[in-house]
Amino acid sequence: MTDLADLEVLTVDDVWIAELNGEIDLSNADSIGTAVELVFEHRGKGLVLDLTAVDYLDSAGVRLIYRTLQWGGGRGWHVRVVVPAGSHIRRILDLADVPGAVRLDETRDVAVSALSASPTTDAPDHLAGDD
Amino acid sequence: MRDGLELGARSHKRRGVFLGILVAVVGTSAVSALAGVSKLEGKPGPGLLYLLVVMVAAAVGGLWIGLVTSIASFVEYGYFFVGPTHSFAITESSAVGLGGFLLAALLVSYLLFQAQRALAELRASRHTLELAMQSGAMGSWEWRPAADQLSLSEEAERLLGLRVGTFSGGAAEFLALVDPDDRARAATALERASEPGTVVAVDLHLLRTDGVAQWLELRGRTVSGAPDDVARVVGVLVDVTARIRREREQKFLADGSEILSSSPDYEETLARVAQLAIPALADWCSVDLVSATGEIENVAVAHLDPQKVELARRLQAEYPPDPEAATGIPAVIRTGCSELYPEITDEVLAAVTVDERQLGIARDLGLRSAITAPLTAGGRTFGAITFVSAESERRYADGDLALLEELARRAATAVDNARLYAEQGDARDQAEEAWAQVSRLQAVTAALSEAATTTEVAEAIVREGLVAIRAHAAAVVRLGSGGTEFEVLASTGFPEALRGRWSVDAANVEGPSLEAIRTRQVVVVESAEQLVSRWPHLAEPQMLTGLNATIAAPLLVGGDAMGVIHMSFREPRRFDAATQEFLTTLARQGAQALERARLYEAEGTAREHAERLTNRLRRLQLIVDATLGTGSVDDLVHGLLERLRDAVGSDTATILVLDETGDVLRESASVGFDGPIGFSVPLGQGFAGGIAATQLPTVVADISQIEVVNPYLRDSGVVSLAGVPLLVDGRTIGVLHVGTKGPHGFEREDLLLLRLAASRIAASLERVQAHEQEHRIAETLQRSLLPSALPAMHGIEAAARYVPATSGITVGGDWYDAFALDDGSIGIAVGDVVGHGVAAAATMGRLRDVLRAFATAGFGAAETLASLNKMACRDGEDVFATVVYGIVSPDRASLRLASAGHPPPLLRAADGSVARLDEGRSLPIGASADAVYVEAVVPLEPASLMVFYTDGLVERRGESIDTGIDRLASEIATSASAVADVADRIIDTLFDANHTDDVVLVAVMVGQLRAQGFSTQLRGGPRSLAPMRAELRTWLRSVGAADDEIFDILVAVNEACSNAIEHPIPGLGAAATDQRIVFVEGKVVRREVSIVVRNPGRWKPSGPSGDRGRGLEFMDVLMEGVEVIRSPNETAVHLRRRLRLEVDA
Repeated sequence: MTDLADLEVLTVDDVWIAELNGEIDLSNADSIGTAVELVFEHRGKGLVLDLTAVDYLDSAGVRLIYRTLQWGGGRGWHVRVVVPAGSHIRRILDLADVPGAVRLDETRDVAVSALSASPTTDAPDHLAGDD
Repeated sequence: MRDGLELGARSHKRRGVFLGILVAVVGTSAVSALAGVSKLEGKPGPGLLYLLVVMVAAAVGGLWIGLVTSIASFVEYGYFFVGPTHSFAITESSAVGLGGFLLAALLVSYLLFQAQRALAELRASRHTLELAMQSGAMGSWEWRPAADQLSLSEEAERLLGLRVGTFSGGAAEFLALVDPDDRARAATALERASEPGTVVAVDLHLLRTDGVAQWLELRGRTVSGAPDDVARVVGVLVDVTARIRREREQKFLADGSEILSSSPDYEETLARVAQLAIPALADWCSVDLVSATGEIENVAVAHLDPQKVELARRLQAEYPPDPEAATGIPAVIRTGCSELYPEITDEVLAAVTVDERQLGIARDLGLRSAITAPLTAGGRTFGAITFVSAESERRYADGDLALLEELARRAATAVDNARLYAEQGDARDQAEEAWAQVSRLQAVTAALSEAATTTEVAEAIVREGLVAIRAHAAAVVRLGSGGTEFEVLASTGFPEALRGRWSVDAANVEGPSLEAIRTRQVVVVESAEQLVSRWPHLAEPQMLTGLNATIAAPLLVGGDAMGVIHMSFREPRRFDAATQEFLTTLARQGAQALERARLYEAEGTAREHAERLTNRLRRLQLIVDATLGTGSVDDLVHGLLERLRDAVGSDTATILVLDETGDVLRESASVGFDGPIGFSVPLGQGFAGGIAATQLPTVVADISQIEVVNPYLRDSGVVSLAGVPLLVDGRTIGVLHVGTKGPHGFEREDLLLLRLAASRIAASLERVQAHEQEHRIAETLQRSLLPSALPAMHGIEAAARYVPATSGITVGGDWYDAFALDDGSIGIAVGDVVGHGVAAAATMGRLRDVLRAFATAGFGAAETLASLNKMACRDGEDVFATVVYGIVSPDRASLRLASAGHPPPLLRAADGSVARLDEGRSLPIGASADAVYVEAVVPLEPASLMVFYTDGLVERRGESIDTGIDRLASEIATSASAVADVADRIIDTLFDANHTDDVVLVAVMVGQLRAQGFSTQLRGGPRSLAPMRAELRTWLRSVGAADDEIFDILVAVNEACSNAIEHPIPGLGAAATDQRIVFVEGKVVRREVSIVVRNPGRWKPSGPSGDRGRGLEFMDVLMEGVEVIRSPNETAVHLRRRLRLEVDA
């Protein structure tokens, strides 16, 4: 990754969690996106993008969120984004109408518990060996 | 007759039948008895006897009796003679004998019957012939050519009017009885009849010795005897008089009818009908008609002898018929009843004659018989037709009268028709005449309406008049305007000597024409005698012209005679009402046309005059307009006078202007004098002073007669003067006068032109004077509005110059301003309000105030101009201005420049290069409410020199403004370093002495000072974003921005920078993004954070769609002002956000 931001990946109850730290801008958004797609295994109930620890995010970050949504949808996953209420990031996401496209949760727990009710799905075969 | 004949034949027939039966019974009985006595058995004798009996019976009793007798004889003969003894036993030989007997008997019966019938028919026809001959209608004749012996039956003799048994002789004697005209035909007929087999038939006319006309048809043929004996020609004479007469009468009536219908001239046709009647029907025939006056007039008398006709005419003239006569023609006409005089006795003659002489003549005429029939049509008897016989000794009978009545009836109808025809003809003639007159008048009207000029109208009158009334000479004469002379407008047929102008007073003018004018009536002279008797002095002209009758009609316009139409004829003639009426109409229409033409010509002259005057005025006006542009009052006046002198045709022209005191006229300009003349004229003195005091236009034909103050006038040889006051609103501001050196004099038209020129000149003078006054006011105003000195500003050095236009006519709206802003930046504005004078100066003052208000409120350069434009475009404003506004940053390192259509400021870099600051240009203020204003950021180096100016400095007539700017640029390049010196030198060098526009110049030298602000550069692409953000965050925090504000601004600036890095730039590949340099500069003015992100190259932010567009969206939302200013080589994103006032900060 970059020194600008960190990506931590973990799973709880078959729910994948991508926790981002630092700043997301034009310089690292694409590589973060690629990293998320590479790191996650193909089996799970869904994906939680946790932006709680992101200090900076602009249109490049928004682009990253939409890219991840599309990627998750492609394998049948539900994707949820965790953004604390009243944060700067939340304001940016609101401006970009992200809540209209993906469910925003204020805490990671809420997001994970919501997704753990979902059945575990396998990615379609043709996507299995993608990268 | 025929019935009697048949009756006789029938009784004869019955008697034959009775006799036949008697013969048969007695005959057969006798033969049978004889046979019984003499025993004729076996001998043929008794058979012949029986046959004889049959023949007799058939001959007497007819066919049927013969047949019965034959059968009876056959039976008796068979019983007594054929059988063996009185039995019917028949032997073979006796049967043949019996059959032969029977056949013979039947044949005999039939033949006898036929013979008997032929005999009966012959008898009947002979009987008929005899009856015919006995009736006198036919007679027979016989001629033996060999002996030339001709015999006539009694009937023939009677038919020929001979006594029975008196004719004897041959063909010649017979032919002598025939009318001589027919003798040849009769002889030929006899000759031909003597040829075998030829039958002739010919009608012969003869007059019997007893005076009865007779027509006989001669028929005859040769009676053949032995072949060599053609000895006898027999024939009949048939009386065909009735038929021939009927035919003749029918032909007479037919011919008469044809004659009567051949022509409407019934008097002529009646004469021909009368001629037709003689001599066949009468020896005399006369036709008499009742005239329109009720008199009986003989219209035709016919007789074979013309001398007798003449005699009859004389008699009738001498003895006109008495309408009340009891008998004769008058009686017939009066009563409508015919009269028949089979025999004209002496008593009759005595009754119808007046005196012995007339009676004697009548007796000598030998009148024998007469018939008269009335000519009656429509129940009215209007004449009579009479047949009289004399030499022919013919006696008229009822049949003749019937013929005459029929003839009269037809003649009456014909005459009636003819009279009707004549009446119709009269009506038609009148209609045709009326139509012709209408046509003539129409032709006249058309000709007159086509004639445009007086001469054309007059010629049309003459031409049409001549044709219409067939005059030999015609003239249209007009009375002169003074009424004292005649003018011949058009004339035809009169000698040359009578044409041209002549005086009304001259004696030879007295005549029909002058009388027509005086009396306003048509004057008619029917002959030369009449003319000379009324106007003896016209005898000679009359001889000269040979003209005779004359008619003259006055040309009346509004009751006044303006002239006369005069027409003359070579022969004496009367002028009927129609002709007079026609001429009156011609004169009326002609007068109107002449008047119309006169008015038209007068109007044409007036129009021509007006056009000439207008052209001269237009030339003067052009002078006024042209000289107004150059400004100088002296130039204006001088030019005006030159043209005025040409227009009026004078030698001199002078304008004197009343001075401020209002007491003295000072010569303002003069032309036509040798050398300069400067003089003054006290009001009320001399020529010009009098005009100024009285305001009366004055013409002096000879100035030696008046007081002249200006000695140059006399010295220059001026003789005539015309002068008019120069008036403005009724107030005298001067005098204009023109003079001629020759005895030319001035006319009313010249004075009119002079007055019009004076009004123009006065208005122009007034305007120029007003301009000059306004200029002074405007200049004062402008100077008062402009800053007297620029304030001392930290970090820069500035100098301003304002130079009003030298010509003095115009004062522009040029202005400048320079001021320090709160954040330490410095605003510099230079503008030029379109327009001149006080109004422009006032507008300039307002614009300057408003601009400064916006600027000090912290508005950016473009924003300030946009606000200015909004104000200028409000309803009711009439502002149009070019403005350039630049803000020198607090650190003096950059200039934010916006130009509203203003000439570009020039920037001299430290190295001495001079550049035009063409960036940040937009539309002039007031040009469009929708105009968008942009600005450019210009980096400034220390010691840079900026020059702001107005177009007056660089614009030259006939030269591109670029040339002027280049000239300024080169001037700046070599200028000194001190701004005041630079400004002075520019003005001294570039300012045109004759410049008509004012000039503003501001020179600014940038100092070393840098203000506190944020400035960084991004190099190396996206990686440089984070450091920039860190730097910016620190700076924002330092200027008191809150965290959320900092975050927003960071995002916005980062988006701008991302765009600058990411967007493809023409000429630079995507791979080159790392090599791009992006400048980010920030400042805070009155708590407003302004950040400019700019980079070389031109890129276009995407729209709201797509991820890339989201950046601009963020900027818009997060910042309060986002402005993208693109120039050809740089794109700059201006971001502004006002920071909240943090209590804790």
